[in-house]
Amino acid sequence: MNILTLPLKNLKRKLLRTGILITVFTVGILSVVMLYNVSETIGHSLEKKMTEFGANILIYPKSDSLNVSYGGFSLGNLSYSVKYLSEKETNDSIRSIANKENISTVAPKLVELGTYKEQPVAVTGIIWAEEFRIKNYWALDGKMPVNPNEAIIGSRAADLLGITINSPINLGTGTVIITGILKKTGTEDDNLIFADLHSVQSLAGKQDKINFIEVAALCSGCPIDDIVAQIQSKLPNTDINALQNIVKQRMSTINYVKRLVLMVSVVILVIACFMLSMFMLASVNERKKEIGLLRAIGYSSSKIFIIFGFEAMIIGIFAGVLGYLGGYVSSVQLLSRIDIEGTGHILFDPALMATATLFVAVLSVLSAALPALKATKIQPTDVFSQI
Amino acid sequence: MLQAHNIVKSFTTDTTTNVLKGVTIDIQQGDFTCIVGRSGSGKSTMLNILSTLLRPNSGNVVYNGLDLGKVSVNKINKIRQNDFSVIFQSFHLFPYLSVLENVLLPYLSEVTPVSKKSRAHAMQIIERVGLKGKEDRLPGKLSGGEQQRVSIARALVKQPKILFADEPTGSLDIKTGKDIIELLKELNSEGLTIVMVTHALEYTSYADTVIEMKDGQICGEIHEIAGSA
Repeated sequence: MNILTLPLKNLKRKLLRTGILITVFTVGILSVVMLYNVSETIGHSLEKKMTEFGANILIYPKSDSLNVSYGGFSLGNLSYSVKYLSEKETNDSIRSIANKENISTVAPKLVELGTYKEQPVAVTGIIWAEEFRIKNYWALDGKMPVNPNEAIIGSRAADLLGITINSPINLGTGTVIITGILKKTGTEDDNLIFADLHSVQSLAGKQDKINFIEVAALCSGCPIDDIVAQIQSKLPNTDINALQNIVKQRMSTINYVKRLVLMVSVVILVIACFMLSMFMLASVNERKKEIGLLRAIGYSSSKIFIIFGFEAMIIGIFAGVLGYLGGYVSSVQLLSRIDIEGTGHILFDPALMATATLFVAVLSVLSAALPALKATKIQPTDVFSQI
Repeated sequence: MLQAHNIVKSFTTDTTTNVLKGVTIDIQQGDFTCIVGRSGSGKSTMLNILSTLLRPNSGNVVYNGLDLGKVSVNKINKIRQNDFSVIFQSFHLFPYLSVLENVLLPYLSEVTPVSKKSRAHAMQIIERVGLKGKEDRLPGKLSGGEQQRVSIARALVKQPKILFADEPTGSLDIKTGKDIIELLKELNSEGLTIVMVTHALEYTSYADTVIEMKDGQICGEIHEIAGSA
């Protein structure tokens, strides 16, 4: 038995009221945890989907002369004193940065000149799987290349050069055959021929060489500048361009969702705290005689505050634990029902639960602070005074 | 031991009521002092001022040479914990605490658990007030007289120097009230100083000193009357 006996016994005595209060607070915390988990997962999923509409980082060899443009990116000098990057080394370096979890796609490219009926054409070597992840919007007539010596061509290049399906393109020591024509994209892709990177390297005699790499990075939780800096430290002899406008557009969409969730969470917490405060105020008014007696037998005002603060803290601890567990289970259930990619990212984290519980406990004590302060002002003669 | 000099106290609501108009009282160690008077005479206000529950508008209360009007709130709390105890007409027991827990209430103000020694002492007091075997009961399961005994035990548990009793028999029938007064007299004969407010004149025979109040002033004081009951 100690000073905590009083709040514990009082909560036990008013079991129904304590239960209602814990339930109300738990529902509030549950909603906040669920909203947070769902928004994080939806944000993550949203960002992944958005990477399908283009890369946001471009890496190319250091160059100090004529710039050539590709897809809105500056490629450096491709025509004079061409410099190459090592495909393996560059790829490995990017995949090993501290924020490697944020790297969604790494799409290396080698641009080589080929010919079709004596006319020069640019053939871009790509890794099909990686390219499709950042160019989900590609659609084509014909069929996708299956064999290493097959290629596709942009619609404008096909029109201007008169290239059709099954046309052979001479490249280095061999040829690649066109199997499909890209539908109009409105980008530089309309002017190019795309073939398998390793075939292009082999035919051009440039094994492991690439001109540049497009990277799609997920930027939530990590600014793009940090990712660029980490890649730069791994690849000091490259120039790295971050397409800030693309990043900002994506982040503003995701941040909008997060801000919305934050606002809703704050409203829920404020309402829950207000209700707790009202309950505590009612409790103080109801227990004025008890408080008066405690003051009469020498309890200081700080001891009275401790009694009511501890009562609120117990409610907060219960609500924190139940709310976190409920929020976790609810968000997993909800996300699995609406079939959103990334449900597996929600992990049960005991440390996070402890932190959340501590936060809720502190919030509860703060909510009870005004009623508790009111309790400290009660004097014995206020409640049992006779003349 | 406890002196009140020229105490003035008024309460203001819509109008100002002068409840005490310059009252002087001297409580001697080991005395059983009874303050009597009609309702509104100011006797309970006087008791509240003597027991530090209320501060006078003017005048001073001196306890063992210490002017209680000039000490800190912390010191007042210490005096309430260790030196003074108050029992009330309405017992003011905590309905959700057992008899033992109610008696131990003065010890429950700390984070450190109540010691075995304090617990054993509380059990002795419970036995002393005639409630042995009822220490685990809730107050709702006790009679009025038993509840007042619990509140007396609670007041005694920290071995106070002065026990203030405000109409301790006011809620009890005549027989139970007499039992309670006899218990208080026993405690007084063991050395406890008691100041009791009552309007039941039959209990004044147990007192060493009877102070009669009327309209906020002392209108009579009788000494050395105990034993005539």
